[in-house]
Amino acid sequence: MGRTNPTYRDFLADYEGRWRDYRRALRHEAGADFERLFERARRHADAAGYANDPDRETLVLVSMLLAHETELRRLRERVAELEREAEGDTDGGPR
Amino acid sequence: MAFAVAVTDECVRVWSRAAGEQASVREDRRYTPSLYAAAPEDVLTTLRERLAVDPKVADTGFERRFTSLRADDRDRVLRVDCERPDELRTLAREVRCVHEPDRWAPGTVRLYDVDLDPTARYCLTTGTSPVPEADLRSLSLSLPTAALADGDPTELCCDGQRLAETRPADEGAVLRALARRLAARDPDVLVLSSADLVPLLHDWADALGVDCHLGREAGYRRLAGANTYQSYGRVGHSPARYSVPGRAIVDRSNSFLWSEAGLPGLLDLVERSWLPLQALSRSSIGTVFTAIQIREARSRDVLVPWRAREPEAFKPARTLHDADRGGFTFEPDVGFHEDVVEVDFASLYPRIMCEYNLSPETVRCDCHDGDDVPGLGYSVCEDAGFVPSVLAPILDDRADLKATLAEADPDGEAHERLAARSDALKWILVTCFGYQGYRNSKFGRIECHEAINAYAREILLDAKRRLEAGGWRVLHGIVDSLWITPRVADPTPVADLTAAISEAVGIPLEHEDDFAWAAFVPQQTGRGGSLTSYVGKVADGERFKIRGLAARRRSTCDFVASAQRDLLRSLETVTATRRPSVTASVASWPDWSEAPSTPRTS
Repeated sequence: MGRTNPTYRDFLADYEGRWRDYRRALRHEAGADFERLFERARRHADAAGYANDPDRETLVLVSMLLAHETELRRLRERVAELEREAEGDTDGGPR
Repeated sequence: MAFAVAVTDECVRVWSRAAGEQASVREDRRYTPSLYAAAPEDVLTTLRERLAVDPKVADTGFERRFTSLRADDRDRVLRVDCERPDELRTLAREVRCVHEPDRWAPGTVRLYDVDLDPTARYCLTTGTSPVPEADLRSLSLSLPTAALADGDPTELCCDGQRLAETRPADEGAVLRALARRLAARDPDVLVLSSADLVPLLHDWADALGVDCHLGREAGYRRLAGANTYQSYGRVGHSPARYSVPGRAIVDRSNSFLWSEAGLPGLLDLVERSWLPLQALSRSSIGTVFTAIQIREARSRDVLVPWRAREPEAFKPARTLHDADRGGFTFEPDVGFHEDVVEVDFASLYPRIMCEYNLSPETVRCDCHDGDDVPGLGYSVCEDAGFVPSVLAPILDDRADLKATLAEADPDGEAHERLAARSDALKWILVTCFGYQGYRNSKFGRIECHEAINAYAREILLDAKRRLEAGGWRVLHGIVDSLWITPRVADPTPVADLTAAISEAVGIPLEHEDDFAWAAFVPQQTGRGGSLTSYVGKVADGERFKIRGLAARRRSTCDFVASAQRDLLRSLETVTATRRPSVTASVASWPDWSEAPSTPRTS
């Protein structure tokens, strides 16, 4: 294992390092968002490692997109929940 | 049926004892160990002429043998009988460093059967079983380390009991007491706290003129001197080795297997490997596994290469990229989880080798052109594989032992004996996979290693799919284990799912543990989960299962370890009350200001 190419997880750590200059120039708020991007890429490192595509940068991007999609789903569900609650309040409450 | 074999330049002495009888010795003065050379025909002829005049060589001849597991036909090889067993390695080195460079290109002459243990070689060559016939009698001798360093035998203990009756004691009296014990018990096995006791006791006996010797006859032999070595960044000490006539010595300070498996475990492995007891007791697991393989190779008429020569086969870069991967590890769901179940595949890697017939000679064989190994496109031969035929009996026997163990009285002597044998086999199973990828392995091959990992990844992902379909969520998974928690209100029972998965995969998936809660922890850098660190509180009981945390590491001092364990226990209150509270305080932790912290040994 790792005789020929670094493992995907090692690659990801290295790849994040390559964005150091980019990260340095970001403002405070964006910096935290940027770190979250890689945190989320890591969350799917198992699937990316198994897929093992030689184009590893695409694997990183898809992992980030997937985490994005998960977050959207979570927010959509939350919005729907809040809407239901709001509607409930409107239906039952005095006008 | 021998229990001690001594190979010297003059003769081989084989000690055996039938039940209820005295030990007897048989001498073999005609034994000449052989090594083998393979090379093109003209080279072998010239080599034979050169070796025939060497005084170390007793005889030479041509034979037909398999020179590799993959060979379809026997090759004509040169057999070289060596006059003295001790000179066999010297002879091999001379062939490689003098004869070969003189006439031929490097690697022209390949040598076989060179570095076998001399006693095991004798047993295998002559068909002398090193498995004891009668129950062995053993006697244990120990001396505190400081006394041993001082060369003072007066504190010598026999079976845990101090031999001297007075204090301070007289060396002569201790030796006479020891001689009486030895005569009364007449042991076959001496279990010594350190092999250095052998020269120490004999030197004292000589100096004082006391008739006391550890063997069944006077005298002892030093087999090897002490040395210091480095392994994985650690400096280790390998003590000197000794033998005494008629008794097998087990050096407790230099026997991993003794501490793990005891005498019953050692004897089980003697039977499998044909390494005589004394040689086996000081062997590493890898050496024992290799010895078991050598025995199987001999039964197939395959010679044992001196230097493993199984270069990696050519393959496309893409295949190399696909194949060069380990088992599958999930990203852990970092955090605290309640109601967690751990399921494990039992002995996954050895079972994969057996189930899918993976062996150095079956993977990418010449006779089949299939797409057998998932994702790699390697073919696997249908002929019974070498490694599976070594492992299958070990797996079967261990499964039987575990089944018997489950029914045995946990406090009984039989239970202890069965557990020891089961542990000995467990270590062989743990080692066998790594040896496929080890470059000095006698019968390893990297493609076999890759194929095993490829199957392991598929098996774990298949199990994940079935568990998810059954209403469970996978929190984490490492190579052969999965941690799951219910995803729906009424999931399929774990037992039904493990049975279905075991059936589908052909390898038993066992319900290992139920945890009231389990926590997968982040890396120390705070970035992502640590793949191999977790803690679980076993559902019925006080037990914690800890992996990878400070409390479990050998490098952690007692203070930190016990503090961490206290903190873990305090998590109990959190689960009960659902709110954090002060449950441990520094005052209750051990007083670290007085005792110097020492590295933990367990």
